[in-house]
Order: sequence, then structure tokens, then C-alpha cells
Amino acid sequence: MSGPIPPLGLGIGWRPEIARFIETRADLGFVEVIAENVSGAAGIPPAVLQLRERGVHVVPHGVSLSLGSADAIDRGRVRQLADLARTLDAPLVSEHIAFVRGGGIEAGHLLPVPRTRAQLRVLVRNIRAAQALLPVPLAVENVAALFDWPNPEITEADFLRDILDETGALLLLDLANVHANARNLGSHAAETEALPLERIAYVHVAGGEERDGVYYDTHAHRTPPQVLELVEMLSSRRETPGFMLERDDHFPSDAEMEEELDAIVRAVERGRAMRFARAV
Amino acid sequence: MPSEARLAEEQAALVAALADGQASLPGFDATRLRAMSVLLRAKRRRAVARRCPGVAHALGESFAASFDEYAIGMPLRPGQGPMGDAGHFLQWLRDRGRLPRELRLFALKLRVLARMGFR
Repeated sequence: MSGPIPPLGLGIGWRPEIARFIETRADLGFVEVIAENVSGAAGIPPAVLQLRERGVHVVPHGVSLSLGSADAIDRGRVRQLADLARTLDAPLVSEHIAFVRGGGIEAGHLLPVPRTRAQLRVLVRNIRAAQALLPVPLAVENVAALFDWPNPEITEADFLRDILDETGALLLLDLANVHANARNLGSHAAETEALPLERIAYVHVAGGEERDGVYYDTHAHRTPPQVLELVEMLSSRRETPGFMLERDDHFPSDAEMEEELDAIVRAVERGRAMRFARAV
Repeated sequence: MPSEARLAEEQAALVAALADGQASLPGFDATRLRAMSVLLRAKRRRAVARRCPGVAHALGESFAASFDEYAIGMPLRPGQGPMGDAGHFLQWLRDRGRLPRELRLFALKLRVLARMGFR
């Protein structure tokens, strides 16, 4: 399933509120669209199609497949994602290592899965079922969690690696989520180095805020320095095909959006310079 | 019980706990589950306010409390987006005689849009 990973470069999550800003930013290699928002009756916004015509890659990003659900996945949802990938000539699609519904109730958000062998088997089964219907590679993303399931059987890094090894899926590494979990669950950002970094398709970067001792991955605030440090650290380890900013709310001025993207570019370049300096 | 059936039950229990406003489940950090539960309702409320700004505007300061009261008793159903949620919320208000007059026509429009496949 996993052919060569295309170099995506700098990207951003396409949202209607920042469509004009995105149009003016000339160095974007890709945008990500929320698959559910541009499928069905809504359709693909003309501005996204124009970006595609300009040569900007468009990556459909699903939020409702519920790959972690013990119940079988909904093939209709996968087909919708597959249709979108074909229409947009997408290099890949992405989804989450999470579940979003259970017992006939929709959670309305990505929920963390227990790190157990039973859950691992379910994820592998569901990811394979999705891959069988998808025309392009699938990347799966680590999610942010405010809480952990009791009695984990496997470490985060081994859990991710086993999923990727058994399915051939790529990794969409969300560094803001790594930071959030380090703050909220006491996992260490250093564990990032144990993650299967060689399987990364692209990276998510986003902002959040701390309230009452809990870090919330809001996508509505500036990217904190700690997340940019993770970008730099990752870039110092290896060349990563793509980095993108997710901003979903409280959209700032164009100047601040520019600065948010520029900060990512600078962090990638700092890391790359460190890597080159080591290689000499 | 096969491990997958047990996992399905555990997942359903977590989703139900987060939806019901109590947010208590053995083995889980109660404070964090409550924080998550509040977060889920706020996200759901914001999605409705963004998709249907007229609803939040018409209800003014009572929007948040009314919506949370509705949301705790009426969990989201699979496939239901913010428009469907807004439609159910207006129906819930009407059943209690709390639907503002200026939203009556909009409630009807939401039902039509839902039938056309808008989420």
C-alpha cells in the first residue's frame, strides 16, 4: 500500500475562514481538507479546486471513520474518502488512531484507544479493511488525550510501530498531540525519538492553551515554543516529507497567520542545519 | 466473552459516560473525564453556533445553558452533524414551549435541509 512518500513541503489545514489567506501564500506544497466537510451535499469548495489546479496537493483528512471502533468500520464512509481522493488526485489520505462512536452514540470528538492487544488487533483489522477500498496510501495519526485508559499493555511507541508494521500504513505525526500528552499524561517528549519516524508521511503542528493545569489542543491559539522545539528536533533527526499548521478557530490576522507558518519553516530549517552540521 | 466484544462494551461505556454529564467510569481519572465531557459539549455547542449563528443569537445569554441541558439528555447520533443537532435542539425547545418566535421558520428550514442531506 505504501509507495514512495511524495515530498509535500509546507502545508496548512484548509478552512473557509482562511481561504483568501491560503490563496495568497505562494510557498504551500499542500493543503489538508476535512473529508467530511467537503463530501456529500456540501461538495468541494471552488477555492480548493483552484489550489489543486495551481499544483498544490490536497490531502483528504477523515475524522469519522473510527478506525479504533471494536465494531466494524462503515464501508460507505471509506468509499466517500476514496472518491474524494480520486477527485482531488490526492497523493494520500489520512485518519486517526482513535474511535468516535460506540453503543449508538457519536462522541463528536476523537477519543483515545486503550493500548491493549485486543485493541491493536481491532485497529489492524479496520485499517486493512479501509486500505482495501482506498486508491492511495493511508496515513494514521496519533491523537491528543486528556485521559488514559487503565492498564495499558503496550507502550505508545510500540503500539504505533505494531500498527504501522502490520498494515503498511504511514504515520501522520501530530507534534502538538505529542506535546499535549506529555503535559497531560506525563509521557515524555523524548519518547518521540522512539516513534517510527521513518514512516512519517507528514506532520501536524498546532497551538493550544493551558487551563487549570491541563493543556488543551485547541487549534485556536499560537503554536507554543515547545511544539516548535519538537519540529526542530524531528527535523534534526531526519528529512520529513511535510509539515503543516492546523488552525480551526479564533483565526488571527493574515500577518499572524504568516508568522505562524514562518515559525514552522524556521524550526524545520534550524533542525536541518543541525543535521547537516553533524553529517560533515 | 471474546476480547473484541468486551472492547466494544468498554468503548460504548466510555462514550456513554462522557455524554451523560456524570462522566464517571471505574479506572479512569474522574477529573479528566469530566473535563473531557465539558469539552465535548462545548465543541458541540460551538459547532451549532457556527453553522446556525441565528440560533445562538436569538437565544442570547441563555443559549449555552439551554444547549447543555438539551445535549446531556440527547446524545449525538451517528451521522448527525451540527445542522441536524441544531434541528433537534430547536425541536427540544419547542416541546418545552421555549422556542423563540423568530426561530420557528428557521426550525422548518433546518428540517428541509436535513432531508436534502445537509449535515
